[in-house]
Amino acid sequence: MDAPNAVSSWSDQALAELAARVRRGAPWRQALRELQPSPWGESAQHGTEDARGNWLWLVDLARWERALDVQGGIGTATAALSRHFAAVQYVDGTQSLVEFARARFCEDQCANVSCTQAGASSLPYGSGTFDCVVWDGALGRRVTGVATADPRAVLAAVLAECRRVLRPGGCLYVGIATGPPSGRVLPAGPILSTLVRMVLGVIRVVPSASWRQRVTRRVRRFEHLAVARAVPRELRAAGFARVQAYYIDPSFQQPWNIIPAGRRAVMAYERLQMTRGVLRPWLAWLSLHPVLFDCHAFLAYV
Amino acid sequence: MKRKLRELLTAAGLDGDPVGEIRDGGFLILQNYGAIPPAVRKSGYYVWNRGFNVLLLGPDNAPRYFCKCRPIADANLERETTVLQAFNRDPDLRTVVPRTSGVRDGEVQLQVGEFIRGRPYEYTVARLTERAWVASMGQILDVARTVSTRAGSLLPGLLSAPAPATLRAAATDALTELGAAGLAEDALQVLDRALARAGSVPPLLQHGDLWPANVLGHHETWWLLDFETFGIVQVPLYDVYHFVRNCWTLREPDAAASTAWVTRLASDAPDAELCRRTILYQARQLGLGPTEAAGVLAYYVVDVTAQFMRRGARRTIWEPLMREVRAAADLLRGGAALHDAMFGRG
Repeated sequence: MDAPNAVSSWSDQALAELAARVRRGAPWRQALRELQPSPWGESAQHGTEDARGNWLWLVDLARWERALDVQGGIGTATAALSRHFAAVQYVDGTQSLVEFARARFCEDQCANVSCTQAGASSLPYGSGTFDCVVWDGALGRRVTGVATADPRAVLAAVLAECRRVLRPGGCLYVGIATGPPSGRVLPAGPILSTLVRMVLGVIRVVPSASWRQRVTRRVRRFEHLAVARAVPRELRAAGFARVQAYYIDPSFQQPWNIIPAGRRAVMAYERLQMTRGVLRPWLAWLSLHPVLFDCHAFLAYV
Repeated sequence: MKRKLRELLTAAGLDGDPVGEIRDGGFLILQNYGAIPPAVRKSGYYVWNRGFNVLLLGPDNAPRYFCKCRPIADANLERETTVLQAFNRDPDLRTVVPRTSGVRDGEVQLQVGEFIRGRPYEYTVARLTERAWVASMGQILDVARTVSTRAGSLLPGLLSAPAPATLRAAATDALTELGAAGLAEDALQVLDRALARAGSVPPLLQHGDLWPANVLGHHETWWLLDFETFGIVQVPLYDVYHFVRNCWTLREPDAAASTAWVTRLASDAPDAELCRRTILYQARQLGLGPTEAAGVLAYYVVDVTAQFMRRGARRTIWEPLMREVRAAADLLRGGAALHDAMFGRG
């Protein structure tokens, strides 16, 4: 997901218009604002956007030299990386986004950023090139070069490629918004997947829109459990040795809190949230905390 | 965790090595409002000079330390750390502010404080009985007064002038800003006259943001938090007005939305009488009479509004405060003295 606007939901036409505006010389912030104004105003928008890179303070790296932003979108994560690493590569499969990113980093005079058009499943770099790789908003957009939209296949293809380009001791950040993309539920076990799909199917035929929306939201929450289990498994399958999971609350767009995905941390966090429902601490206590959060992040070390 | 952050936490050394006892998964980033290092635009100024906070859990899974991480250019955190460290040296103040240490390098500054268990007063004040509300407000304001009084000797460098300052002179800049933002000339004049009539007050370092979210209650003791703006305001009773106004707003949000607080404070409403009594009691403790107390009220509404404007807050944020300024001016129109309009009925 890209902040401040979910570029993942933009049409090709909107992305082309975005690129055209910066090509015509519009400042990149203005071009973004014109296409989708922020409800929070300019200063809040950029404050929140900048803060999205603070997860880097959680990362334990020996070297902070080279970083790669996979499916970089409008370049939010790249901008954050450029303040921590000596050299940063931005990669996206969409031509118009690469054009926009080039204009953005040229305007911001980020001399340590270079932009390349490439798919996330075939990165044009040698093995062991980077200290850190970021795939933010994973599964939020179609991956160029991967024929299927099946989340499992996409994860397998991209994670293996990310693992390849990381140096020993390097770290991959995967940010993922749940529920997963429409169509198929990630495999948290066939029974859970099937149940969620069945319930969602039943909900679609219920006439009351508000009831349908509410129940769909609740059912989707159980898909969060699937993500929490499936992504670490895929990361390990791709060859990552150590995986740390986090929740981002309330959303990628407003990443005000980053909480380790563990029972004790979530319970401590929930105790601080005085205005939330009484059920949440109980769900955390039962280790069902994945259902409480819409955004998951994973740090995976080689 | 980034090695640099680990090293800074260790160097802060509140209880030896705070990092050594933190296990994986015991590190939470909270209130993540600004990047460190901050983004710098082409023109070179900081886009957003804030940072994030960190909660460290101890081996028993309980919150152990609360850390504020800010860019080095953030003067507020530096001020707060200096203030809290000074308070930590005072045996009485040690029990009302968290134990704190600070450390910095070329990129980030860190304040490591003991985590204080307790419930923010913000979440309890609305549910208290009138009696409990008045009692707790009195206790909290007594604590704040003790802190302010001691701070004068602990941090003499913060006092801008030891001599009493006239409220009129102190409010000049703020009134000019309100005028520029559209406050009517006659309102400016009546406020200016009221401030002149109140004369001068002895300087007293104020918390500056004493509202219920910055007060924790734990086992019948009150802890004060967030001293980032401590001492910027040096007009006694300022914290009292700020605290009473916010408490009342939390208790009666609907009334606060429809009627200016100043108007309600001058009314016959039962809660208004409780608030006035609390204010006058605190004023007496500070050696101020009703005239000075009313003058500080005018100063408070003018200054707090101007502060929000200076911070670049949107109009929707400061407009309700501007309504308070207009309400104070309305009370003064027709030649009434503010202390008669406000405190004359008791």
